[in-house]
Amino acid sequence: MSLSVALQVAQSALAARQTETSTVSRNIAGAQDAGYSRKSVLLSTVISESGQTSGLQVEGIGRVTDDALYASLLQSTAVGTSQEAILEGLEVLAETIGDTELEMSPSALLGDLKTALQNAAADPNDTILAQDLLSTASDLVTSLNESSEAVQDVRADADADIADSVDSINELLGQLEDLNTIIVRGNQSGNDITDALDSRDQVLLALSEEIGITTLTRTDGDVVVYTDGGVTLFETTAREVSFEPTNTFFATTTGNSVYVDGVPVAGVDAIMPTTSGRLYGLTELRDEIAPTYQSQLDEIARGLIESFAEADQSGGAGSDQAGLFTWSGAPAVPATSTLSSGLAADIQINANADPDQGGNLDLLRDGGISDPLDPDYDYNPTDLAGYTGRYQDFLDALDEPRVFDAGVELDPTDTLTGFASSSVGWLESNRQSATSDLEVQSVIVSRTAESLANTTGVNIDEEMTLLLDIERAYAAAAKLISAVDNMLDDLLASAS
Amino acid sequence: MKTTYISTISMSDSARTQMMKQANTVNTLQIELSSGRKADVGLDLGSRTGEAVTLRSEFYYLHSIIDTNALTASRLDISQAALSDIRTNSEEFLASLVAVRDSDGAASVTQAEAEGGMQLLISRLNTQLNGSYLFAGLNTDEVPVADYTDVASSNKVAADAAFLAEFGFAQDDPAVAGITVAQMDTYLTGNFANMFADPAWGTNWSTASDLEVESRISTSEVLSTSVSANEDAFRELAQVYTMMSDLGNVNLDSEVFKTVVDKAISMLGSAIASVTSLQGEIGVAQERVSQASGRLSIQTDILNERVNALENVDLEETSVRLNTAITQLETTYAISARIQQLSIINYL
Repeated sequence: MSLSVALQVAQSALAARQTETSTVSRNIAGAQDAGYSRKSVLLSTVISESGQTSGLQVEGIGRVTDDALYASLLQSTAVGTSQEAILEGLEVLAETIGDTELEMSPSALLGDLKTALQNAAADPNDTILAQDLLSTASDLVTSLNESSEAVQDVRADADADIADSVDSINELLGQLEDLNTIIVRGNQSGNDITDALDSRDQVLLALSEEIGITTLTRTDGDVVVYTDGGVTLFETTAREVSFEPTNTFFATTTGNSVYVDGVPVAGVDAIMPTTSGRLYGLTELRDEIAPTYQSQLDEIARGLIESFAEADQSGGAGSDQAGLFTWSGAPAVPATSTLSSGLAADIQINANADPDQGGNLDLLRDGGISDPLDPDYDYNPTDLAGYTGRYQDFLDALDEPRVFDAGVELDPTDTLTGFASSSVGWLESNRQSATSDLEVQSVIVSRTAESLANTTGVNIDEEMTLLLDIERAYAAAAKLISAVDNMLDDLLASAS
Repeated sequence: MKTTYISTISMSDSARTQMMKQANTVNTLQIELSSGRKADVGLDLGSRTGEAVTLRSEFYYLHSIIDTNALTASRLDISQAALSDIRTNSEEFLASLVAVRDSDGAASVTQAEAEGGMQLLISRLNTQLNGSYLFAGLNTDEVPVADYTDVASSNKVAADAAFLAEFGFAQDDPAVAGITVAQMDTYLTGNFANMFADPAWGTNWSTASDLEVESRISTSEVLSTSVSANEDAFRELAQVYTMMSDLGNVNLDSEVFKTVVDKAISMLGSAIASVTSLQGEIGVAQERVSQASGRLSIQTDILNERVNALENVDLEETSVRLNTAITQLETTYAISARIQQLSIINYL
């Protein structure tokens, strides 16, 4: 009987409209949620065996996705966070240089030392000028010590951040496991899993901030996650990511590697290294950039000790000895043209020249700082008050070409002042390129995120106009029911 | 199929990020405008930051050389003035000696003049600047020349002893009248002259060092900027003044006195020539210091310009950019407020 079919169709239409209304209201609620993708109701027409249409059926809830955009968002996010981690470290390192106007970098203080030497040489008998020279020299030493400390702090902070990053990776992998199970089961039983899919996408996005990943979707929506180096991070179950933090860093300390499922993926001995994500940026900072800057500082310190070293004046073959600038290996001078790791933290003012430590200021002028009792290293044995030879030696030595370790990314044959200034240039140019890389990358990330949001997101205006349609359709279906009702009434009345 | 679709969240998001970006620009430009320098010099210059740091230290270093050159110049000026005094005085003394050579009774006049000359010579050679003795060579913290007028002084004691040993009596003994020309000649060329030669000069007269004070007058030039009291000219002058004041001159036989005067005249001639050449050397040094300072001040000007070019911003340009940025930001505010109001809800 056709009337009952009409009634049935109208009823199914009412049910479909109600599902649609609830979807519209879900969409509007999620409109300001960054990870929310627009949901739509999947409808189909029910056709009876006789070939008649017998109404609408809700097949399920669909969700708008764009796999290509999503994959590129994962990748560009990972690159962006790695650059961000590196830049943050470089900015802390750049504080050892500060504004050029502040004259606080080792390079600027080296310039101050030359000025103090020139002043002292103009009046070698003036103890105030000698005192000034000594305090400039100790400022320089303090600056090297503090810069070295700052570098090691950056490494220690990076190491702690790596530990945090590993914790959050493990936590995210745990969440991923739960969501993935829900999705696989939901797919098998036909439940609405769209919200779980949204959440899983958000978890993967958060994961890509920590470590570069690639994903693969299998049957039933099951996802497999690999690091960008190819190590399995998640397959049905989460793999363990482990890391042993180091508390204190010295120039000679090597930080531990990060292991995924027993495979080292970040750190000096990584065999399947990850190449993006915060984890990568932090290990790069801890194991490459900061140690290189430390080595440069160490070489500046070595150059200083070498420039101020004292030679045997007796005509004998005594080896050079550390003078005004000394170190724990004194009286010997560190081996030439080879990096002596941690020297910038070790360098100090020789107590023999410092009156506060029982030393004698005149030794600055006369030499013999290494051992005041050894006449072989006394440049001015009769203590002539006008002797400037030593000061002139120092000034010449600072501008003399010398050989530095070739492994510190700077020109190995340079003057000490030139080398120190190249180190400033090296750091600032790294900071500059990291900043501009990050600027570009953040534009890419935000454009990709915007495109993805435009493809999968909700437009409230659109939902509102859809709601109008739904209202109309609902009203029409309701009207149909009441019309059928009236017709049935008429039928019953005529039958009675 | 969806065409030109835009989601609500990206509409509000992009307005927000635009505003933040522009507010950031305004902030940076405002810092640059108020300081006149780039907001983050290191970030802006990158690898050239090292150059900026070096230029700055070079600037201060060259300035310090200009300052120390001023000190060197004043040391040279004072040395020059002292040498000039010594030369004028010895020239006057030479004139008097030539005038009185053949007149009797002149010994007392020349003796007084010689004593004055000796005092002037010693006081000039002991000139001090800033706590340093200018004619002491490198031994700048000791008085270079002993005071001959003090009877206990080493040079006076040595001179007395030498005279006594040669003749058997002191200079003020009337017996000096008995000294013959030959005896005097022997003494003057022998033991007397030896007092002014090394090593006696170094023991009795002078503590000065032969090594000269060296001053760095530019980044690469090191210059000797002192004259030592041990120069031959000063020894000769000391010898002349000693022989004309302290050989018992008044009581000498007139022929012997003439021998002494002749000796003094010939020695003065060569001493004056030597002092003049020392003055020439100092003059050359003065000239080089002043030229070096001139060059350095040109260099510091260039360095200054270079640092400014690296670190400073063009104020006009910055203020125009700041104005534009502020206008832009205000427009963004106005437009985003209007966009936020746009909603179909208002028309339903």
